[in-house]
Amino acid sequence: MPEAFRHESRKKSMTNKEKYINCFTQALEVPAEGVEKLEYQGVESWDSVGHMSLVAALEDAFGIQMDTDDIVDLSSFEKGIAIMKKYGVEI
Amino acid sequence: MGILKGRKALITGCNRGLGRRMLELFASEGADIVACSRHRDDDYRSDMESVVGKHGVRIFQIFMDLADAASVKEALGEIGRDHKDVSVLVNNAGIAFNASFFMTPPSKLRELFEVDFFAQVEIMQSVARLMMRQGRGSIINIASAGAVEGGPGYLAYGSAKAALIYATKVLAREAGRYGVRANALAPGLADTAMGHVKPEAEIGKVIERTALGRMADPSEIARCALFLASDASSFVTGQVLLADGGRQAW
Repeated sequence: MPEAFRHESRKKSMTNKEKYINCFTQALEVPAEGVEKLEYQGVESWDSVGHMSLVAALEDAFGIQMDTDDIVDLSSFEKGIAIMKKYGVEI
Repeated sequence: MGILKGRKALITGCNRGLGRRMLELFASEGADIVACSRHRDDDYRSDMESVVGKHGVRIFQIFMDLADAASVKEALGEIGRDHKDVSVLVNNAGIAFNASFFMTPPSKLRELFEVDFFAQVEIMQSVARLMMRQGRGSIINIASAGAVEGGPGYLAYGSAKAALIYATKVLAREAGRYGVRANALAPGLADTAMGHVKPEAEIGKVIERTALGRMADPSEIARCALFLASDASSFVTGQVLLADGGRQAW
């Protein structure tokens, strides 16, 4: 698996919120501080490539398969919480 | 030779024509197959079982009707859930339509684009993501020599296939850094049911301007797909492989 798609969000002891934050910090290589304010293209690492890494991280962490429309809509940390809800994941 | 041993190949339109030939060839080279088809009758099932018996590979049958968005979505869900290890995709299924520019109704144009372009892109988007996670993959989109040369009577089919070629190049550029290759295979006239959709007189004209002076046997096209699927083409991406018997060699 390419480095960009490696992450460690499957730890059972973590809450969904912790797992969700972990996806962002690991896929986008950003610190946890300020992660809740993150928006697409708001940091250098969240470009189109980083976006696909983030999607892969979320799919693996929560065992879901995101529709293309939702991948496109994933424009911020906040927006992602609403999208996760569609897949039955409460953050 | 087993050059696809250990690989899992997803092929659409497996029940006949080029797709059926590719399935047999890929299986003979050791690939497990995710066989997508909109047909699932007893003859088809028995045919798939015969391939399994002959080559000792696994075949996973998935129902997918490219004209039905719900069917495509459901099939892609199944693929994402059960076949995360697919590393070859052949976007082969498609429909043809012959009519002049002025005799092509917008509804037909939309229908062709729905099946020959939109559904194919949706499959690519989904399967390429699975491949990116593996760090490898080869996507082969079956286009058409007609999409490259342009010709009277093929507004809908040729335009949709030309769009597919463009999408292939975009994907090649965006997914390349993850080890995923994307190429288009553009066959000339092949001796399949779809190849015979043209009137006989038209077929004769095409053969006349084909350097080899004949239609392609489906196995000749399948071997080109095998090349693109295998590591023999490991540094080839974003290309259109014209397998047209020299139709455009003039």
